[in-house]
Amino acid sequence: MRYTARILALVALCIAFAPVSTASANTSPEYQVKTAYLYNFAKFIQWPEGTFTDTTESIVIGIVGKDPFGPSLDEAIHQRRAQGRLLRIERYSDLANIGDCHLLFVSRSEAKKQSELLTALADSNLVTIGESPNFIKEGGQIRFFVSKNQTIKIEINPDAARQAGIFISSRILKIARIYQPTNRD
Amino acid sequence: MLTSFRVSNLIHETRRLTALVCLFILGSYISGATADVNDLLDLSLEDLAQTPISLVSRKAEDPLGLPAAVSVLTAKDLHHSNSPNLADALRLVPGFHVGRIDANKWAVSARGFNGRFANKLLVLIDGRSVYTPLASGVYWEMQDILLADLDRVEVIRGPGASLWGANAVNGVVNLVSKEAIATQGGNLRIGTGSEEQVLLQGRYGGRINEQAYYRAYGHFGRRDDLKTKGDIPANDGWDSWKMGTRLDWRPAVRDHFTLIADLQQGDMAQTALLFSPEAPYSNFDQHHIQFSSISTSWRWQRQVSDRSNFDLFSYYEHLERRGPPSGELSSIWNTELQHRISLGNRHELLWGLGYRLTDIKRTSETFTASISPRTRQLSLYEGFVQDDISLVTNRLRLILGAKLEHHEFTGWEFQPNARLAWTPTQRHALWAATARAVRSSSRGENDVRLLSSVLPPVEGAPPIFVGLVGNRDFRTEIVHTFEVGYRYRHRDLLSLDVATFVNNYDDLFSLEGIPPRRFDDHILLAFTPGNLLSGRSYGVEVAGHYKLSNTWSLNTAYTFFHLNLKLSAASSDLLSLGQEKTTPNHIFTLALQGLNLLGTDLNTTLRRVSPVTVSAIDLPAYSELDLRASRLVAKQTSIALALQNVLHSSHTEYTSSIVTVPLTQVQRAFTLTLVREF
Repeated sequence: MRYTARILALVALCIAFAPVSTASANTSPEYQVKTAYLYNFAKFIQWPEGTFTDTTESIVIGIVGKDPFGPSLDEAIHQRRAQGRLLRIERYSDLANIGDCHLLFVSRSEAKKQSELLTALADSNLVTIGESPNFIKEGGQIRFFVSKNQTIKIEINPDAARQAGIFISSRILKIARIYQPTNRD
Repeated sequence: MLTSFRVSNLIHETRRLTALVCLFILGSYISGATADVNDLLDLSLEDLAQTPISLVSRKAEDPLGLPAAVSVLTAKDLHHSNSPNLADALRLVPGFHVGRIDANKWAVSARGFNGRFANKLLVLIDGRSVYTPLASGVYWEMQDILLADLDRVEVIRGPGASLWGANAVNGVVNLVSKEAIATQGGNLRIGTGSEEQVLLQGRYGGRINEQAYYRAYGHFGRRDDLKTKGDIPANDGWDSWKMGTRLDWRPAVRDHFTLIADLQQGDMAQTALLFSPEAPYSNFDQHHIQFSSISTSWRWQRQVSDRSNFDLFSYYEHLERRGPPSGELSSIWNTELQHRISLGNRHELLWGLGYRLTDIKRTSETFTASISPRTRQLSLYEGFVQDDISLVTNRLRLILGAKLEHHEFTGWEFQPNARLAWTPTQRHALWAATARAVRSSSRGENDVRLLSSVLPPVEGAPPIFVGLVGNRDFRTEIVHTFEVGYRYRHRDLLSLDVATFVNNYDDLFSLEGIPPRRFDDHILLAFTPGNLLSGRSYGVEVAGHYKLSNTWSLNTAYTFFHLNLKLSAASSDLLSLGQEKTTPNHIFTLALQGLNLLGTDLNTTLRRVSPVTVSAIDLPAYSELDLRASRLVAKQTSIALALQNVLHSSHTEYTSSIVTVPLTQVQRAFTLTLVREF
């Protein structure tokens, strides 16, 4: 009996001190698809010359605000390359703390504050990606939306991208809805 | 989770991205939690933009903590497989033994008791059981399925009876076909070869509207005779055709309706030992067996909420086999309901009810074999409950479940199991399980009269025929299993699976002598099924997977199996102990998949199988090698050359113990296939 108790205690100890699993297995399907989009953006978007200091520099995907992807995003792009470069994820708590990145995903949690920031980032060689309904109107470049037949589509504002010095490949434009401002003011 | 195995097919299949090998709960264990995301990453932007969210796996589960010995053959594995038929493709499954008896017969099983009708393995195609309650086993030649249309083959070794019920004693094979949306457009396959003489397969998938997709398919195959010793054709060539359709309709995100209908027909040559009351009393008769079947199934899956879903499934099948030694006409109606609900954060409850009516009619008989009464209807009622309990989140998981069934011949059967998995880290898992399962008494064992040999008359005395006569009191066979397994997984790069088991069998089928019966012109020395055999089997199954590059991978498996049988003192059985040797003690396989050399995709499979003894015939160990090279020759057109059994011009794998057929050799063969998509 004592022996059994000891084994049980050992097992309990192992469980208690085992490293906490980082793999959140629960990324929703929606964000799995969006993960794949982000990867494709990294593959088919060109940044202006001089953006990368050397050929080994990673492409950094920044996520600002509440992270809807979770660690499975990191796992998915782990060891993946786009344009010969490794990919890396960085997370920023809010718009005030954005670091150096090449693609910036703006979470819905930042929707209220994003307008000001997008204006500030307009010339920054950064691809801005968001999903709030007003994201493009407020100066964002790429917006995710859910189509009628439950697929994830993208809307692009080519003018905003051009202003930031970003070249978006026709492979992406081909499948995107192109934003047409009804009234420029 | 064991339930997922069934449910992935039933309920959560809805959550699949069709273009990929997304294995949902059960499946995700094998390639890691991000398998589906990884596959999404490899999609073209066009496909990505067309991917409905509802088809993406909703919840990828902890990859490791599955407390059962499971394997999955993915669409990729099946694509790389160079076998045109299902039975041979199962050689890729760790722990499985496949022995080809002749051109149209196979013995397929896991964990022993193999034979033409291995009666302890349950096989389901899209949820429809293809285990025949007449012969208790599977007519593999009738499972004519387009491997390219399969999404995956899920396999459990060991009992699955707490969910699937009787006969899921030593394993369950669950074939899941692709959703119609995943097979859009046309696909034409034309092949020819030394054994597969004609291979014609066509499929077209189309769209009715944004919610409804269909595919229709048809195929025809003609296979040459194999040869017996001395290069004599074995007279076992066969033709078969099949056509069918699948419709998937998702009127709303939460609803999924599936309709599948199939029609098939086949004609097989056979040489088998038949008996007659007059001289020469027995002869190897050359004849044909015709089979045909119609099956239709429909399924409604509804996601009630994030925490609850149900699945209503019905099928009807009509199957006919004609030809010596006897003919049968079977109809099966089956309906089942399953409901899954999460209770709190710790419990996931799955329960279900089902009813099946099987009507088996004898359509012809011979002196060699007959079934009486002529017609019998067998009712099966079933219900099960399972609780999947997360004792420590992501660490310790307990599954408790049981199935209660009512069988026509034997009454109530209780089949419980308990499974525990401990996942101390993201890479390692230990699991243990114990279960009770039964193999149901079949119509054959109750009602058959089957002759197996004759002693010619001496000095005017009548000939004496030896055979099997059914026993209405034959009970179910019972197994108590104990399993322990270990799993290691490093992303999808490297994995190791080890499963060990001890199975204790009671009330196994034995052949008991009964007093001889005297007829006008002969004497019948009969044996009847008894339950006087018991036994213990144990074994180890090891499977390793190593991903060498994005496309190239190495899969290896080793299986050790041992069976001890013991007859009760009251038994007069002289033959059944022979089953100890009908399954090889060692099987080793090594498969290299997806090596790309100069645009040619190369696959090789090497296997070594230790000797078996079937019907007192010693079949030696053999090693064989299969090779396959495929290449894209034009846009959407590829060509594949498969070489089977390269090492020897012929070898013997297995023979039949039920109906005596000549010992047949499997030959070296090639198949050339052209695939065109449009």
